[in-house]
Amino acid sequence: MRSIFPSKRNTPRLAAALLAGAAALGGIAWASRTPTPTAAELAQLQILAGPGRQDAALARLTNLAEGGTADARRTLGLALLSRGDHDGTGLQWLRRAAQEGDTDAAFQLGKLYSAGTAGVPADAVRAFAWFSAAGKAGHAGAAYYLGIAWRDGYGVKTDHAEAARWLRRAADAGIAAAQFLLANAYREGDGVPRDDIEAVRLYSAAAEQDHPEACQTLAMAYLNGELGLQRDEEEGRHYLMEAAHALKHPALRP
Amino acid sequence: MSSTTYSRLEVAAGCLLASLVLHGCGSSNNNSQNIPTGTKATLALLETTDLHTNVVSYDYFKLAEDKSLGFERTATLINQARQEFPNTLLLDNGDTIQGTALSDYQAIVNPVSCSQPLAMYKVMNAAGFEGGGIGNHEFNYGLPFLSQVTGNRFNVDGLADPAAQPTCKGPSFPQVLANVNSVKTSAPLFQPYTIINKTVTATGPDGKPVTGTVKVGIIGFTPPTIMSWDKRWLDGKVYTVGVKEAAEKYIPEMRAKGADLVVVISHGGLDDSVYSPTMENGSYHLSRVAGVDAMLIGHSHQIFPNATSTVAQFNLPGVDKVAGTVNGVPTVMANYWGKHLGVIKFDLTYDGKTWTIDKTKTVVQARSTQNADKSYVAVDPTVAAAIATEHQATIDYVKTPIGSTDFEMSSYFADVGDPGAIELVNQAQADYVAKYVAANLPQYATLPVLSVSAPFKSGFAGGTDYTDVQQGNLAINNAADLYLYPNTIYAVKVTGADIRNWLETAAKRFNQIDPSKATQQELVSSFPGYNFDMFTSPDIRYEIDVTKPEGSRIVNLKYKGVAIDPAKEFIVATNNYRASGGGSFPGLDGSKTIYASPDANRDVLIQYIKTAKTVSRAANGSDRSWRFTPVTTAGQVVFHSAPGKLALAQAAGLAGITQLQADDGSGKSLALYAIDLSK
Repeated sequence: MRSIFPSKRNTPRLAAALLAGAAALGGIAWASRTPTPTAAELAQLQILAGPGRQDAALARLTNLAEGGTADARRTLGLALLSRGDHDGTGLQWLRRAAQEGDTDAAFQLGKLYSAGTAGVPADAVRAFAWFSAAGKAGHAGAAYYLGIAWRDGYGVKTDHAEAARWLRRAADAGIAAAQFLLANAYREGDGVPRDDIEAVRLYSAAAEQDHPEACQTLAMAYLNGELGLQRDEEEGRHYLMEAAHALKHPALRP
Repeated sequence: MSSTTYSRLEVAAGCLLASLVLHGCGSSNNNSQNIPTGTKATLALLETTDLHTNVVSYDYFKLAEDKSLGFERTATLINQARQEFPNTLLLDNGDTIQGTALSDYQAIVNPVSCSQPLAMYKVMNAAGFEGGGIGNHEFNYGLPFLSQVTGNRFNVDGLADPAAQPTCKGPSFPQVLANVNSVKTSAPLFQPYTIINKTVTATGPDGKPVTGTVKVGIIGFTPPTIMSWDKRWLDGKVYTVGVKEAAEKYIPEMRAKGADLVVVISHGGLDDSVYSPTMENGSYHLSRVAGVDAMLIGHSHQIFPNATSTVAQFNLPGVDKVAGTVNGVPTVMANYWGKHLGVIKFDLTYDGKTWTIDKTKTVVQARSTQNADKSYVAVDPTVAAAIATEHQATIDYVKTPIGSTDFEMSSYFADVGDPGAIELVNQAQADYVAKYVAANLPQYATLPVLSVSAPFKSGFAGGTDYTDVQQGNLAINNAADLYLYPNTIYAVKVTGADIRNWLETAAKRFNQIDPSKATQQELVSSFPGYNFDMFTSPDIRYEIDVTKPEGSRIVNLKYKGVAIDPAKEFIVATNNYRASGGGSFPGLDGSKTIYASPDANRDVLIQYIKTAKTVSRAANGSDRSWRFTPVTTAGQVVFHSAPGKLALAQAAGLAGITQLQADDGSGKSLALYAIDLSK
């Protein structure tokens, strides 16, 4: 078995975990391990342990979670959840990480409660609480979900101005789905003053990230002369083709 | 970092390390060749990217030439570059085998046989490509197809043991991909890199021509996000590793094996946010991996270098959009569909051990097939000739009758109640979603499945801007008239209250009519026709009372004859645009989607017609779910449509419609019609 997991140094505290990982992963120079895995290293381990189904990576992640920090526990939880989490331990790890203040763990719990799964019945109020915790700590993905919660009343009474405020935070962080919904708000004057120029700017930013619906909106706007744009058949056709293309690899919701 | 920094000692050290941790070193790490030190050569890397099977300059949906795209014109740029530079190395970035009716024809409709290369690879073989990468779209048709057409024998779950697989015809050049591994073996799906022994004509220090070899290492990367985009094909079978980790692992190996140049073929754009192994566009971070001499990038459908680019990714720190460098690494992105050819010209000097780059002489360009006067370069006629059979077969396929209709399916009177161009779409969508839910979503099996669609072509651009499919045979290209937009089917779970809000929004299509007003009133507002969603099913009935203000027009909303329960749950088949928030419908924001299908509404419609074979007014064009609440108006209520179509309104069973003026004076070939709302 060969794997790609770069690390630089080693410390005694994590020696056992690292030894297990290094022995199992093989092919990695022992003398190049980091004391604490970086976010990128954890993300890579999550892939190997989750979609990669590598038990050695899962064992290493488990060791890191037991001895390490909240981000390792969150990573282990997500890896287990991506493998089905049949005994609920993935959820437990995620919950522990969130309770320890890991912002992304709180966000991920929000998503679990929002959609609902076999082990977690959908609960909009709980989802909103976790999103709020993460959003207030600056998590852009949580800001997006708070935006739609306020827009459409998930776990909270609708407030379109509040929705636009959260969508703005997520949009400014580059989340295409938020840019699209905020553009809609500017187009309609929904929670913000009507502003076609800002709407076009936001649709364009989302389209640049392969957001199919933003591409289609611009296509229709150019074909029909909407949003203050001059009718432009060529631009319209271009955006229609971009919409078709983007559908094969849409900008993903956070 | 250029290859100049790699002395023999470092290569040896790299080899020692590699022998501990990697495959070990090959025997080819000695670059000594029989050419004199000081020999100079010019080598131009040529890049195509995102060709998407646009071989000829042709639009298969319009069945018409489109000179702005097509490899037959890029080939002319390649021929010109080969005239200009003494040595060229032609490489493709990926997103090569998917994207037109030709690719669908060869993948799905009439799958290419094991003994034949895909049309796209056939012309690339003839054009002398020497290497290629793998884009995300290569995975769109699944792993068995990709394994076959690339001439591989993938060792993954779902495919026979490689020993039992045939090796099929594929590209005659190596394809490299370093960051996708098989779950079954943990080994890379493709060869991660290869080293091309490029024979070059060079000039010795004495000014005489000599022939030498430049070892060009190529390594490929695809966006890790393929795991989401093509989850249905890839989940549990392959996984991705981060592009940076893969590069840091393999590039030292390539150097150890004697690569004079390392060329990264990265199917991804530039993103300078904090590195993650799952990030979509990893090329910015790849530029910072030691030992990269050049990057051929793609995926974003953009042009780089481009001094006037306003695109965010080309205005990052470290990105020189004029010179074409990313953190100092020469980088090119050649747009898409063969519109451009990327060029990176290196001047090389042989130092007795390896070739070094004279960085002061490197030139990076993206060359367009469009000339300054807006005309396009001529085609290379050998390209179209090589795939004439496949091209004609695709055209025949697009024109092939897939069924027939016993009535003219049009949208001229969709605003006033003719479901003739919409019901078939709704039936196809509902059928598709109902089958999917029954097979895959047992938790929703008890929910009714409804469908909405809208008259996408509703006269905005004039009298020809309507759906109008003639009675008789239906062909693939008619489906584009019945379903205009590139959408995929989405199913949303909503309540009765959501449905009412949905219809209230759609009913903004109409102005508020004052029955007492004696003067003419326009029925249709500026609210776009493409947002006028409607049901066309006997199960659901409602009236639109245009005398009421927006938000209170939907009356007598019934499901199966009973007033709809606001709390009752339904599944509604629609498209990605609406489900994701397009048109700002209340409650639709992407979170109610229970099924985001990868299948296009248009393709589902085609399949439905193929199965039904005959389409009839009675079965597919007469279920009106809605009508206007009857009201007698003092003055005329008018709307606009193409002239002379009254017979179609009558055929649809619409009463009370008259044509007032054959020319409404708009200059858009529209007539003025009146509707008697009391009928």
